[in-house]
Amino acid sequence: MSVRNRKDTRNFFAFAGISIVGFLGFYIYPITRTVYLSFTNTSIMDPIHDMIGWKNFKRAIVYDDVFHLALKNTFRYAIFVAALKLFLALIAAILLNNNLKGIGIFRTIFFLPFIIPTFAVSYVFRFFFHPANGLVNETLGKFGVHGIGWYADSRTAMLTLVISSLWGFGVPMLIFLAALQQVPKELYEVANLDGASRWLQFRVITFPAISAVFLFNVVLATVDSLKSFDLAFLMGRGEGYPANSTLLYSVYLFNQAFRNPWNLGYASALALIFFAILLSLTAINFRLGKLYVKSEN
Amino acid sequence: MKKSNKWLVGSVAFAMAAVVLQAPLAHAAVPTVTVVMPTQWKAAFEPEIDAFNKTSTTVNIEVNWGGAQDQLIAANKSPDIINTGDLFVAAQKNLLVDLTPYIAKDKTINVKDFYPALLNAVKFQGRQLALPYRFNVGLLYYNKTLFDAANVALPTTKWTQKDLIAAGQKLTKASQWGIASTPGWWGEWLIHVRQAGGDWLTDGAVALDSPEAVAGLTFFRDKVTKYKMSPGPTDDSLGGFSGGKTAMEYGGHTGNWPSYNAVSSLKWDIQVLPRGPKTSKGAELALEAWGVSAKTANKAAAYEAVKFLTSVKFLTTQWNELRLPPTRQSVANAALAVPFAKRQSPQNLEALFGGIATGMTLPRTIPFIKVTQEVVQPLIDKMLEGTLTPTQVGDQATAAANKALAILQ
Repeated sequence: MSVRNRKDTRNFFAFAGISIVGFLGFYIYPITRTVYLSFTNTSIMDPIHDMIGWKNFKRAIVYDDVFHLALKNTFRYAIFVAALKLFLALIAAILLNNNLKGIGIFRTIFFLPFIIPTFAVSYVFRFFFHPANGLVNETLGKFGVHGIGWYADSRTAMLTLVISSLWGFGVPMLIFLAALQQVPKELYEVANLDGASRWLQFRVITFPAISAVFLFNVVLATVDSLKSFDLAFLMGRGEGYPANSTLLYSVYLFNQAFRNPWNLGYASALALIFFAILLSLTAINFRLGKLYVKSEN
Repeated sequence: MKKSNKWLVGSVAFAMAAVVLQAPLAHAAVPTVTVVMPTQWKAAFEPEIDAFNKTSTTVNIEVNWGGAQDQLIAANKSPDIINTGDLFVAAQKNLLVDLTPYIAKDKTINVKDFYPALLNAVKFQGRQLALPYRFNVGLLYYNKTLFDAANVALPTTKWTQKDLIAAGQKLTKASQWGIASTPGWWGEWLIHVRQAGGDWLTDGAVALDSPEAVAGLTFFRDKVTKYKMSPGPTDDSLGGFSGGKTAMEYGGHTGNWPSYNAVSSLKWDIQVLPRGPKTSKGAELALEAWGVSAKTANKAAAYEAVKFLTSVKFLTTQWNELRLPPTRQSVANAALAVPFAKRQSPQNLEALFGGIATGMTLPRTIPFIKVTQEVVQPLIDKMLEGTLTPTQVGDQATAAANKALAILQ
């Protein structure tokens, strides 16, 4: 090895070494360990465990009805939350993409919910949606409308969770806003001269210009909503209350690992199944993206 | 200084240094064992444990106040002493040391002083996996102020379910509930099922579809829908029993006592549960216990620490300072010896300690919590919403729970 190469190697490890160690320690090791655990009957509370082959996967896929329900709940939740979040983020970004006086204040206000802790959000929404004396039902009552059970009724608890989750659309909104600001203004001036409507301008100028960013946000929102945990955990008392109606995949997975009987092996298998689902959906999103993403050329 | 004086000063200095150095060295030889305890116990227990550590020649107890025991175990940093309970010993059977041989060899521990039902509840497959230190038993909690205001006679040991219904309805009015309800938990409905002659598990299989169990489930629902004396899931619970606007709580939990006593305006007491249609037995009896981790480097020292934490002296402090119901009969007798009028709330300690005899532990040999909370409870939630009848719940819960048990076992 030449002196130059040796120096390069030394510099590479000097600058990237910590990252490599971090990557191996915090990514590769946990992933490898999860794969190993998924083939065992490991419990946190039991020092003895055996290799059980594919039993955990078979149990989840074939037999576990609660897991199937959690999966169904998660898909229902993710479809609505991802779609509505993207819609709201796009609308807000379009509204905020102008040079009105004080627009910065509005941008801050729209982003603010993102930095509020989820447990605070859950308490606020429980107050809003309390079936007996919540703000929403009391307001409805003033108009002669009989309120619903919201989070306390299994028929409406998922709806309440979806509405509460829309609170944090600040990040996709900011990404959309950044993309919208890159669209050349001249294109809109020409379109205006040609008498194009706002909708037509959005369809032929705005959307194609931000389509790559739209795909990015779709992938992000899908993954984000599928792995939602904190709000569902807090609003469903950690158990998908009432009647498992808010039991999401991640909450179920958490309960398998960290609650009696602390079955880490089974939870690891669930995590790998979840990983496979996320990977497939992301691949589908990219495939679908090819239909609408326009390249810069 | 003369030479002889120098020797004298030198000898004295050496002797003093030896005394000063010897104490910590001797103490350092005493093995240290660790235990996790909640921060709210610190003020009550720390002086007691410090005093023990100063005099003990066998073990030094180091408390991790407010630590997360489960996380430490998961991280392979298990404390030497494990906080366990009747519902956990099955899952922790390989994590906990069998204390039977230690107890057999120990002439200073009086195990007969523990309530046998409590001691047996942490015995698994013939192995004494822990020693109990606190317990909970289902009781009838009542608000004396609301009873007096409504001119309703206070609950007695002779009460039946009919008396409960009559009082509950009389005590229910605008902005006041007769009986609290705890949705999403088995603590209440399982008592009704058992008092109606049914049970969660019969002959190793879930039998919530028996006519007796269905009768119990029906009464649980009727408290809300028929007698309208308990809040349903969408009603305002008015802060529950501690809110001061609920006359009674069925089952309850001794762990809630500090929060009840923290409300100065709440004048409350306890009574044994009213007799059900078939039996007065059925109150849930649950307990927490200290066990020794199989991963500890010094099992004998950890056993000594468990012995201290479940000793008469320590349990007396636990009762006097924290009102955690003690598991030793001698401590209970001392509490009962205090004249009724001089007792803090709850005064009716006869009901508490008497409840051990009528209480029933939960199934330990199966993953009871998991199956109940994941499979059975959701159906009961739906019954309270009115979308399932008690018979449907009984049938569906039995099928689903037996299927889940078959998979898990």
